[in-house]
Amino acid sequence: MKDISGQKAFEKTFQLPYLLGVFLGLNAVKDACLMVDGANCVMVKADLIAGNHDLFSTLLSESGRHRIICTMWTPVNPPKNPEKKLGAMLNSVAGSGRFGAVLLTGLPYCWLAGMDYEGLARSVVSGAPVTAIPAKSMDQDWLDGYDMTLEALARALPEARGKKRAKHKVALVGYMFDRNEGDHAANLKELTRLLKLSGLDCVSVWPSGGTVAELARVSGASLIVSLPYGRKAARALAKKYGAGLLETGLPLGLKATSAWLAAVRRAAGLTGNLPPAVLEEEREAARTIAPALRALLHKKALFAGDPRLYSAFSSFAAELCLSLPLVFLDSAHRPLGGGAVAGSVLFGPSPEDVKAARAALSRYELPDLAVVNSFALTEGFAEGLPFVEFGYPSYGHHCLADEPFLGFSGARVLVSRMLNSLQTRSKAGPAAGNRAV
Amino acid sequence: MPRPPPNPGGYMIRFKEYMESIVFFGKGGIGKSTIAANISVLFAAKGRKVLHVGCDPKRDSTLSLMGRRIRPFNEQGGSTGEEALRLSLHRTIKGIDCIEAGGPQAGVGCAGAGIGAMLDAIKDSSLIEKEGYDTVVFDVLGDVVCGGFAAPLRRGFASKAVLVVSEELLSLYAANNLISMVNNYARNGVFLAGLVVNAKDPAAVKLARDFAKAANTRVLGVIPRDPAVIRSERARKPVVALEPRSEAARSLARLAGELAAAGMPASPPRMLGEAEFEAFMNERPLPRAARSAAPAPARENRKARVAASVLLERSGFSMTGVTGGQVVCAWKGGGDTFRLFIAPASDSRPAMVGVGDWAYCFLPGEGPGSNSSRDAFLAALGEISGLRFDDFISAFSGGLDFYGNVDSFGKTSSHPLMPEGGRPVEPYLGFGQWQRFLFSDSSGICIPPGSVMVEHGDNECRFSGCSQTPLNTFQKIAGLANDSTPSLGPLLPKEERLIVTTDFLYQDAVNGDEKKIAAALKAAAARTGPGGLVEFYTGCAPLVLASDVSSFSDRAARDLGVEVLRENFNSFCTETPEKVRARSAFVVRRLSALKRAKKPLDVNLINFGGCREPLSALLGSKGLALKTWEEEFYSDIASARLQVLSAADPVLTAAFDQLGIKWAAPGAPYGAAATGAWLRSLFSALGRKSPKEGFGPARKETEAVAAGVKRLSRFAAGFVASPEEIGMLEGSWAVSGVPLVSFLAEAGLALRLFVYAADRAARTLAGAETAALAARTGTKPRLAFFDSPGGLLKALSGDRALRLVYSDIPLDPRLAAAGKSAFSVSACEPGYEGAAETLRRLAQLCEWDFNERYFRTKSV
Repeated sequence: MKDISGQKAFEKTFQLPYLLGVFLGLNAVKDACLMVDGANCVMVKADLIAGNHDLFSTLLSESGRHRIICTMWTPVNPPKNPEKKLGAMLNSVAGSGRFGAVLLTGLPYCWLAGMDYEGLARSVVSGAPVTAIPAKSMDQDWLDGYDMTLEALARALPEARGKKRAKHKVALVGYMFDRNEGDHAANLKELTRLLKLSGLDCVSVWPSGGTVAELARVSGASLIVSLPYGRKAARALAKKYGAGLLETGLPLGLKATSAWLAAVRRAAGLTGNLPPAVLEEEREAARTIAPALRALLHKKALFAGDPRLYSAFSSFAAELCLSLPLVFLDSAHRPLGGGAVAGSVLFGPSPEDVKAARAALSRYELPDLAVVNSFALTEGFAEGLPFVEFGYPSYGHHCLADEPFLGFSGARVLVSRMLNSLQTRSKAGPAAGNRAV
Repeated sequence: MPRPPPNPGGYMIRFKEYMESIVFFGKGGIGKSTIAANISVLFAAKGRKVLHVGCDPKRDSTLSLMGRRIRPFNEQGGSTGEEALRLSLHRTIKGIDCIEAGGPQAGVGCAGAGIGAMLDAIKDSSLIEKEGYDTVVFDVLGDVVCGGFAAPLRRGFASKAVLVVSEELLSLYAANNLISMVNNYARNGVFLAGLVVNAKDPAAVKLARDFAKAANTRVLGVIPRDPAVIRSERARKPVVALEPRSEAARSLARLAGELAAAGMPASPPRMLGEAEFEAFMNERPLPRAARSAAPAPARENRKARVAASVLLERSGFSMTGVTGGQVVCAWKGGGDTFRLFIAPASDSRPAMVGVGDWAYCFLPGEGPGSNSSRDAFLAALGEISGLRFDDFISAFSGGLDFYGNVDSFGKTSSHPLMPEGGRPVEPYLGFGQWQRFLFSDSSGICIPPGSVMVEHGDNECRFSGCSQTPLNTFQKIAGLANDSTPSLGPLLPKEERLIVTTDFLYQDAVNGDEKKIAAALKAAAARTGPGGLVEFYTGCAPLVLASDVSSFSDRAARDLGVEVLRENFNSFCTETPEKVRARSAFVVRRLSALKRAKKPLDVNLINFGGCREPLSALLGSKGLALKTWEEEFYSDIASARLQVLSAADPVLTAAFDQLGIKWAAPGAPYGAAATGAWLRSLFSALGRKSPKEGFGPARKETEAVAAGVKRLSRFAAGFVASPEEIGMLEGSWAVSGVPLVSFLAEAGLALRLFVYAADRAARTLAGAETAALAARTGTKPRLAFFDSPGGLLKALSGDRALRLVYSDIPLDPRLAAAGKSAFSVSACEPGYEGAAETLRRLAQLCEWDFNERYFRTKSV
């Protein structure tokens, strides 16, 4: 239950809704379909991803073959038994042969009306597997929605009885694959490459823009590496397939990447230090970054975005001798990772809260740079600051070519982006104002 | 008939071998709580670890176990999930753990939602596994009035359901309904263990036994009316503990034994039909029809393995839509065509005729027009009588080939056109048919500045809007009213354009939202000020809970001096008569409050978005005085002699008419001819003479237009449309008011119409519509038909002169596959200078070979 005691009437909130997380999860599995029980207003959320954030999204289709289908159940003149139609639609979609899995959830009012999504999903016995994502919109946010979606996909996978799991095969579960662009493609290439270099074989990344069948390769992993965006799915998969489980943060930055690789190696049963080639890569990346530090040293950055990314970014910031005096996170309150640097941290602030927090900074706390997502930019959180658009959503920054932000390559790219932003002094503008809703 | 094995997904099922989970249902006041509490005690006495769950907002289920009321789950302050569960758990001296869901004050909020949330928390926290309960007893409020009260069944918690009945006939009526609910959730592993009769009258016991027999279930036990029960209730103790030798206690002990032994019946119980139940109650023999109504017979058609869609098509039926839970179906045969609704028999209305598990009725004013067509229809009906309701839905949605059946809508899109020329619904229904190439304009009626719109909805509602951006998959950024420089990406919603959101939360659902409604209205009234207008839109979640907005809005109107308009959903821009009236009245009030002053300007442009600047320049060049920027909506109106509207907005025109303010909304100035006409209209409305240089373009503009026409003269532009859309291509809302066909003809482009027409009637209609369009615009469009996506691709690919095809999907891949360029009204700019630029853009697209080179499908 959210605590709203301190909330003023009519504020905007920098907190994204549950179903947006569900849509992001769906966007990352190209042959999954989502049936949303409720009115078609839910479809508009796809525009917050498809096209605007992800140029290669297949959530919507010019042929009408959207991967999101809604039932058009509304509270005005509802059918006596809305489950009847929903059940028939589910059977039809599952039997279409077009999808690797069908997910089912509902808008909050359908949940209030007591729809039995789990039961309905189980009642579909042929065609693609159907699983329900709990309709938790009224008390959870987008990060929960993403996690729940991955967990539902984990339930959709078949058991793998008797399947042998080779040693040193790992799967990364809980990656935030929010778009099918060059940033994430390059991240996955980088992580897979570094794991290989460390003596490990990455058999599956959850999710990675592939198909449900590709997700099923997770059953071949002897170790599930749980990344922060899909803890539930990672636990479920480790239990389902009898694999080991290691919960980690994101390998963002030089030290964090090496530490991450070392932890994964240990958990996978490899002994000894990281191979020299990996350590050499770390040193090489440090040598590349070093000249840029002249511009970054002692700088202060404002961060606005998701808390998982913040936890990872903050430790990298410390590595670069950057500090983060002001942090705005776009979710409900949740524990931050150990790497998070102390500063003023606000969860789900309104634009007014942000203004007040910026005004309260002392002269020497004023940020020089902003690392923010698009909503923070358009709401003026970073007004007057050079900025790097980072995380979901990034409506103003697209990657048609490889542009990682994880691993050693990612560290170089991220530093390069911050440096260029500082040097070009291209500054964020004021709030977008009263534009369209 | 053997029952399918219980699905292993049910939550409790995996514990079933060693665990008892029983849920008691029944009419209110029948003794469920008493029986449930005693059963918990008896199981605990056998050494079981029992969790007793009260699912009644009265939170009295645990009263006799605890001897006091306990604080329920939904009243644990800021605590949530497992923390709230732990705080809510209370242990009796017998070691029974008790928990109450609680609920709102009577008449507000939604107790069902609270029960669901508590059960979710139990499941998410694995409380049952962690604590090692081997028996869970659920006591659920009276009649199950909504899905929330079925939560123990819905969430797979219960394995055995028990219905408590008495001598009251209504208790059997409730039990009969509850049988249907238990059967519905059998998929979650629950079964009906039987009935418990709480009665003193032997005749009532017999009635219950007879009912049990008719419903294919059994009586598990009879609890007599015993003064010991009353005494124990007063003492707030279970009777089995206080007076274990009483008759009631002994009966309860027998019942506990029966319950423990109860297994899944060989065949499920059945709900008696309405007539059957009535006959039963009247102690009359069952009507034959009723006796034969239940269990659906094996279907011949299924046996013959004829696909439902084939059978329907063969019998003359075609599915045209789904509305609510009903299928809209057209029937053609016997020289007649009419439509009918098909609904599940369980949802059917009195006028509907039942056939198997479905029922039908004709749409108002439709039906067989003659005896012969009626006979033909009945024969066709006989053909499909073996189908089930699910078959209709499947046929509608394309059967197994979910997306393959373009014709199942009879349209080339996922959204049928609304009748009588109304706007189509958004292109989002997603039943998988083709998207239209032509979308509706997103602009609606005027939202007067100074009014406030409150959206009473949840966070999903808040994010149900997205601004038009250049990267949206589907676009309509065009026309006079649209901003030519839209935001680069979606903005953080909402609190924009005077729309504010209340953020309806779970706790508002459970405990009631009255305070939030009152606070929102007060804040909105303060924003709009005395005499202002507040529009209060109730979203779906509060609608489900029947939130009481009217009394608060009436009070706000009275106490705060504002007008409050109540609407449902977030239909901010949708035109309704009441909304037009209220907004117009507000505009009148605001304008009337202004001091009368001289009108120094000729014209004031209203709602011209990004077109304001070029059109101001055009008007200025013809000698008219106007402001080139928008200062203050109402004072701008007061400062000009003529109000020029981008479209005849009903709100503003009504207000202007009432105040005697002169206004004009001439046809949009796209293309040289339309621009000249627009200028002439304004001068005429002002009573001004023609400008010295005339209404025509400047020499430079004329030359640029001529150059564009020359470049375009060897090309053709086409539209893909349904017959009903043809008339909308010129100047309608569908093309943002742009006289598109005339403009393209003026540009020297040859015109093509590719019309989806699967039958002769559609082709005839298309021919008539094309002729009408040609007459209206003085053009000669060439008509071609298609009836499948492949057919369209072939038709487009085979036309070499055709370079441009209209689509509101930018770079539409369907057109790229034919090697063509997509264009839309978003390429059109107003005025003479705009016309020249538009022609340049179109010529550039015609000469552009990107799609031809990289995306054209070679094997058509």
